[in-house]
Amino acid sequence: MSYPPGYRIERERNRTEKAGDIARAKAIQAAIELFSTSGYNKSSIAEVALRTGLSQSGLLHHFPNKTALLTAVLEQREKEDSEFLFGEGAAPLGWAAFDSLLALVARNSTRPEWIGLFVRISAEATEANHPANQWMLDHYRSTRQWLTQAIEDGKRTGEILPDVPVDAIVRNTIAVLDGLQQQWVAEPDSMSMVAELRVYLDQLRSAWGNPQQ
Amino acid sequence: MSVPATDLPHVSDVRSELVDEAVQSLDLSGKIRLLSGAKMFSLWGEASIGLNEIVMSDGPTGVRGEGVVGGRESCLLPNATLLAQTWSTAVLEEVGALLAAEAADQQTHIVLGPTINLHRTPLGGRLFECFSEDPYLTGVLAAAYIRSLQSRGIGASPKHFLANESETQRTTVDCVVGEQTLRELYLLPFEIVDQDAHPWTVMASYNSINGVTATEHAELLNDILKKEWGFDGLVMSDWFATKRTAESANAGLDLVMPGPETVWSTSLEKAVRSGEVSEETVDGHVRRLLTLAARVGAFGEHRTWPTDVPGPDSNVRREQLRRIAAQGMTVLKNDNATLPLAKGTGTVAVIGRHAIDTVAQGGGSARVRPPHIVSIGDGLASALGPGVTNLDGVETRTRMVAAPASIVRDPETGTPGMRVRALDVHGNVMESRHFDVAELEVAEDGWLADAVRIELSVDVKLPSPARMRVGVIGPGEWTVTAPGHHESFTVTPHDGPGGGLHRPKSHVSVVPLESGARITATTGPHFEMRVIGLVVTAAARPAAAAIREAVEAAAAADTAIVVVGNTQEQETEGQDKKTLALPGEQDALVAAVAAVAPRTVVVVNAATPVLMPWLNNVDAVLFAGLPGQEAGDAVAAALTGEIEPAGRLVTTFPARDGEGPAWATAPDAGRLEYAEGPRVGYRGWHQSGAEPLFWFGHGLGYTIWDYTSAQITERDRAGVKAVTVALTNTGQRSGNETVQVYHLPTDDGQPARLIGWAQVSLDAGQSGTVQVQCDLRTQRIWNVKEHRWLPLSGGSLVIARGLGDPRITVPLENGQES
Repeated sequence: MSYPPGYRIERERNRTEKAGDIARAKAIQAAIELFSTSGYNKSSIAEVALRTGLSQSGLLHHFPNKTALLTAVLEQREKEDSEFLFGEGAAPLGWAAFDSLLALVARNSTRPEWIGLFVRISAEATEANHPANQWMLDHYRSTRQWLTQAIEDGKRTGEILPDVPVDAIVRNTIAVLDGLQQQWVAEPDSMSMVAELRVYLDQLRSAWGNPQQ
Repeated sequence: MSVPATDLPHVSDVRSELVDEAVQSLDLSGKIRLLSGAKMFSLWGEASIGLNEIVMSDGPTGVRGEGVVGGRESCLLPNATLLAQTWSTAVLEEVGALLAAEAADQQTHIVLGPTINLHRTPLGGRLFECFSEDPYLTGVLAAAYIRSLQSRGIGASPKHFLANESETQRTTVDCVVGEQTLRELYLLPFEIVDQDAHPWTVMASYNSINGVTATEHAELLNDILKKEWGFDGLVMSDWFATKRTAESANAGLDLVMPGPETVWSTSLEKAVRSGEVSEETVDGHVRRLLTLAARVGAFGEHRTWPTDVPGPDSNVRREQLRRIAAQGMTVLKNDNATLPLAKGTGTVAVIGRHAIDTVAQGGGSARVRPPHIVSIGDGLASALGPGVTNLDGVETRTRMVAAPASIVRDPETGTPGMRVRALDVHGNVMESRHFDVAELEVAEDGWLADAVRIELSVDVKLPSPARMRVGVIGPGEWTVTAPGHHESFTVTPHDGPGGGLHRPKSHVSVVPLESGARITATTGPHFEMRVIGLVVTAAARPAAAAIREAVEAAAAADTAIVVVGNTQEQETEGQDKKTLALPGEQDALVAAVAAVAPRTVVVVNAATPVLMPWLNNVDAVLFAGLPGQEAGDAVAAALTGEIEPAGRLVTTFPARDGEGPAWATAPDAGRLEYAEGPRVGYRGWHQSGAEPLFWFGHGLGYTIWDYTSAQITERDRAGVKAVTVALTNTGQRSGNETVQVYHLPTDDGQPARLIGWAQVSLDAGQSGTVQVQCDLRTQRIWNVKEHRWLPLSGGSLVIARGLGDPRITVPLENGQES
């Protein structure tokens, strides 16, 4: 997810979108479908080109290699997650932000290929020269920013206790999310990510929620 | 399963000398005039020969009348797959009788349907209108429907002849299908209805088959349909499908629809004068037309119309429509006997957009205006009582639909509905009308034809101020105003026939509104017929917010019922799907609820396969189809067990996108190759050894069946004619079983196929035997070298509850009497 865009009104797509943008969008969609059904390793640029209806060189014009395509796919994922979490309105804050994570994990549990892709890529992308490195850094930074603001807002409204260790909770929460996904990819049928996360969130709430509210 | 046809009006019943006389009395132009429609949905009368106008209506989900929207109210039936899931000829006969009454009440002679194309790939947008992936099941059910309809003097029009299994580029696509596959799969339903029900018309499709467009396909129309099978009815074109004059007239097309102006009305006479088409050919078409007219009571003896037809909201209709819908619903999963919900089942949280905005029908020409739609939320609340809470779910539509009459008022009358005014060039009102619904059809010959601008207006009725999406549906340039809001924009039509009529696009903006706010939209002229309307609906919530609330409600209730489904954006004529995933974030909603609810029941409000990535985490799944006007009451009856949802699937469900013998619907350079050949649906799945999510024929019902024995009781050289099966209801409840017999040939090249089925009702603990009639038309191979049928012998019979649950195997000795 990324930090939510400001309030915006839904409009029909601009029909004068350039042909190149459309081809690009189609290629990303094809790659998402392909990675989602075949996984990243088994997919080739040639297959994406075939599904997009472009020649391989035409596709390479938009994306110099498979990794670049992957980066675009990840950006698309960010966009979709952001839409899912924030819609056209403001980001939920306070405990509502943490509850939204529960919804996000529920959504991810129905997209095993997506999670598998995410787990693999985020491991590779810790290397500074990996094409998805910046994406990964942005991903964590924006998530931390949002959750930090969520807690600050909860402190302001009084639903979260004032002495909450903000940074630790933010980083722990991200660690739980990623760790659950990692374990789930290894053994998908062994647990429900949603139920496990709910336990964590309940603990968080009982430790740092304001019992008066 | 051939049915004696003695009670059916045949050519011999129609006095051919009367037809001949009439043909002789008409001159060439008089004859040719009759061979094109007079209007969109009617045929010319001709006083000099005593021929009355013939009126048609789209079907088969209801008899809509001439207008696409805003017409009179009529019964909205369960959709075709839900009907077919009953596997019951008795139900289809009841449907035929009901539709015949509805047609007669509207003085309509022909109901255009049933749609008997097959479910080739689950992506097909129009599958909701077609019965199944199996040609035999499709043919037998359709024949029952047609016999019933026609025995009441209303003509049927099985369609679309031929190979119209998907919508992408449907008017131009060339479907490339091998001869054996055509015979064994796609022609078979038409062959069965022709032999068993003698349809009075057949509709030729838009597409080409092996390089020749359907309306010009002499081999299909003249050679196979008319000569080989002896079809004595009339072949009409799909709407705007006819492209060329002489080629279609000579190929066996009899009637070009719609009128008044068609390629035949403008150039058939010239083609006859130049010798391209013989006058005898024209006479042949006119003979078939007059024969049809005689059958529907528009020629010779003129029919009378009944005046005592029950209304679409009468008790008798409501009972029928609720019962039929519930009966076809299919229990896909039911762990720990979660269903039926016991009385006093505790608190129930009903969650999901489809509980509120229940999708009762698909999109396209089959659309009907029902007297009401009982939402699934309302149906469950009235059946289960005060322990039920209803909660909206995530968004499911990206295209908006017209505002429900409950939240809009005609500003002039103050009554539910909309005001429509035709304005002239000076902005003066030429005519002003009230509409009960917030959408209408604008036709070239209608009252709005001369309007320079059309103005739609409503006053919004809201319980409290709210952020609402405000806008329009329908192509055209638009200006929309509401308090504090003014915008102008253009909405584009879809390409192809009916591009302005079906699944109109929308444009909305979010506007804060108070109750009583006036919304006005104006639009100028448009080049084709279109549906237009006003949209007023609540602003979208982020999916995560809706899911957050759902999780709280589900955790607090004893049972969560999540209602999910497709909308007319997926289940529609004119467009195929790209994925089987539920639209929006409905999968996430189910997964979240299932993780916290003590018990989770999922109701799927869709006609065609959907993916269920949450299946392992829920307790029960009811596949409810598009259930028609009594939707919610039917779902409630099924979930409580008041009516056993005894449906069996009519199409195989893949577990993931891309799986199955046929997938993509996009033609390659205009050609769509049916590369899987005869391995359609379960036939292909079975042959590949792959495991689908659910097999064709699957459906648990509410009891348990133990099959004890099966033996072939009637057989001849052409195959097995009857199998007797003994079984016991070993469950706790009385139930209805559909005993399915499949033939698994030895030859790997010949796929498994359903050859017969029978139904039996037994009380708990009761045993019984059932004789399953098997049809020889399913036990043959089309030999492409000799162009004839050969018997398919050897292998084994499998008595199965879908091929994923085989119960008894009976070996067949090759060619020997057993």
